[in-house]
Amino acid sequence: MKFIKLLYFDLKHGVFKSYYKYLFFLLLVSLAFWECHSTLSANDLNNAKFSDYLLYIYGGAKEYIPTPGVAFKLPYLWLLNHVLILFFVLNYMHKDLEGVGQQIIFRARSRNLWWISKCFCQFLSILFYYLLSWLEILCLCLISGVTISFENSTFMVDVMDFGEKLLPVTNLCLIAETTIYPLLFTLCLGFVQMCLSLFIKPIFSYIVSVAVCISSAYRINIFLIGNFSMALRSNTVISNGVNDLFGIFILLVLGSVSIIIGKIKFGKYNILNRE
Amino acid sequence: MEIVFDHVSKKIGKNLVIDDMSFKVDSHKITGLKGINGSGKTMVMRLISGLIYASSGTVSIDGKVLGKDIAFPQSLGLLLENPSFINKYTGYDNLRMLADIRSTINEERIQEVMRIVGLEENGKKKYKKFSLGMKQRLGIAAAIMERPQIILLDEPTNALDTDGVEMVKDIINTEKERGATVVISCHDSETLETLSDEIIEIQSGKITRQYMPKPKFEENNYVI
Repeated sequence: MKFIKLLYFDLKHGVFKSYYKYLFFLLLVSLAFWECHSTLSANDLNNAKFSDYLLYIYGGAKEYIPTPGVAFKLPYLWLLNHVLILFFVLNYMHKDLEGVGQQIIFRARSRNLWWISKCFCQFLSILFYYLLSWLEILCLCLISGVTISFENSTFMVDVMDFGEKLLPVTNLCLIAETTIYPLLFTLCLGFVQMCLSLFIKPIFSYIVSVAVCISSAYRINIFLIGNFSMALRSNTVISNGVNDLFGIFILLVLGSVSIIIGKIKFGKYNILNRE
Repeated sequence: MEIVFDHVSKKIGKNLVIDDMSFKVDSHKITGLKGINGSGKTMVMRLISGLIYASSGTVSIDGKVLGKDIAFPQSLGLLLENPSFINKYTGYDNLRMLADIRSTINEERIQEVMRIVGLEENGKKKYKKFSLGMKQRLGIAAAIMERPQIILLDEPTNALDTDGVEMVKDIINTEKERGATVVISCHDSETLETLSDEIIEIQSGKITRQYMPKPKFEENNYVI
């Protein structure tokens, strides 16, 4: 019962009262959509589908192989999506812990319940960002007359320049690659960031998150978990891509371990006001 | 409820903020913590409240060790320096939100506490529009509203006018009569000595003196 009350408080103050963050985020998603729309129009791909828009925004970039004369192109829409959401969820826990949260936590008489409630709140908050952005892209596609379909089009071949390496992708795979994997990655990195912020200052934990995202874009490595969120680097999309199932496993394990380590650390954490 | 510090030390980073402190706070008594800024009074309050745990030694409440047997005291009211509430809520709404966690008191009790601390006429005013004194009064209301067995008041007279200080004294005495164990810290030695059954002087995280303040009549005799 106490947990429900804690969660209700967190959802109210950590999720729903941050409407201005959601508005800002939705504004950026609409800018990303129009950038995608103009790119597709420039490439004369009038038959682009809803799935192509999702791929453009959440798909990341193909593997970068350092070659003289070939500059590294940062997948900035993919990056922006993750770093913005991680920034928006960064501060709530610590802000609450320094304010009225101190009155709440001793009334709840449990550090564990408080921590779990914050984890749930973060999970729902990140999910909410994704649901809103998917919904916005869907609405903008409908307004722009884009076909709502997950069928594989020629988009990746022509715009992303994949050529022969592209594998036939099923609709279900494409849905997972453009929705579930990016969401899982943000959730996982969000929990890692939340856990790290108990050991180092929250801003430094955020810098670690951004560094993981940028490094993931630069090279393929199993420790650079951002690779698992990029559809354009998945083994279901390209022949030598990263293993999706292994990616899910790594993201789930890392997220769960972060929650557990955070719970242990928070059990002895000094609840003080920032000087 | 009896509070026992047994060779408690606390390090925050590299700083030793509490250094091998041992004392006992008796049930149903008022204990005053005296010391200059940074002496460690607030850290003692935080250690009793369970917001921080001892690096070495134990803090126990009725024999139960904080951080081991229990995470927080089972019945606690707490006012720390610069109390913080939700800006967009009224004073009443803030108290109700906190009271909802345990659900041990009803709306009448919240209204009663608002009246006790002199905030009944500001029921509809948002917290962000509160003066410092009103914020302090709301902090005191939050600390006493659930009739806790342990009440920790860190600088309860901060930002209060003369009437406010008298109100705090009345509240503390009433809570003691009810049976609460009260620990207060205060810059004002006179207020502290008037209220406390026992005073613990702290300097650089160490207890330098522990004594019973002289009863009022004795002091008068001495002055005469």
